[in-house]
Amino acid sequence: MPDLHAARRAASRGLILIAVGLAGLAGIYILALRFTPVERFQGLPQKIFYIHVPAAWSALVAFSLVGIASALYLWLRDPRLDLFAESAAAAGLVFSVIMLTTGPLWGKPVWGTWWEWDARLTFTLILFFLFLGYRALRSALVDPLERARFSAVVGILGFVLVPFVHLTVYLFRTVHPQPIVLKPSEPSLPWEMLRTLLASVGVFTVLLIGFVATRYALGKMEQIKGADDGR
Amino acid sequence: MDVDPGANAGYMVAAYVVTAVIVAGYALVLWRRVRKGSQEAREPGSQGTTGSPAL
Repeated sequence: MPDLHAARRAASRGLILIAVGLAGLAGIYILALRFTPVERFQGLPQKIFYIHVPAAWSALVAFSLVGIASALYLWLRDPRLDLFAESAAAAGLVFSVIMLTTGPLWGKPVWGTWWEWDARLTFTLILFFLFLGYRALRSALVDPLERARFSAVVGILGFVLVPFVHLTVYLFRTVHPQPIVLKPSEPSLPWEMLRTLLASVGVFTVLLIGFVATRYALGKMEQIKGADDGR
Repeated sequence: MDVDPGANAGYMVAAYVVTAVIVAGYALVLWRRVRKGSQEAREPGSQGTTGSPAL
């Protein structure tokens, strides 16, 4: 079963990437807590920024990958694209949970409230629920072709929301801060803070790749075993 | 107005702990599934799982 061995090796490589990402996350905690200055107006809660923003980045990248893979699946009908979309959606949900948990934990001491029904927060929550629905849809459908086709449509709908989530702070009045790095002008924060943020984005990206790669390899392993059992 | 640097530290600690728990938890779930899949593949005549892997 050379395919199964290849999938197992790919899963092992994914797990190694995740281990590197976890070590990197520990490094980010040390960098953020020990070597990055405390913001003078918000105090220590501002350091949530170094995990909240990279988690949001990873979630939106993951959901974009779902959309792209889903569109390519509808065009090429390659089941690997469907499996990749599913793997990216699972990772996106993990990072969304981090984003939606750390956001209120930052909002409470700074805004005085856990949650505001403003455009950015509400659209982010809708995106999260949309991909929860994507998961539920996949679980409900038994026929693999039907599952892939229907969930690809939902994946594309979610992808359409991604740029909208980013642009909500420009399109609507919102309590959420405007982008300070991903904007037309230069990043508006001191180098020590920008360095920690970029390092954290790097670590979260490694975790994202590790999660997607491992999940994809797992799906492959289960597909191969399923095909063998069916013979 | 400058704030007491140590004020509201609990929110930051909670955010960092929650993040570590979620990331490590998902990593653990994937690791266990890979290990289980590898063990099943080694056992002759084992019954593999079919369909879509759970979250």
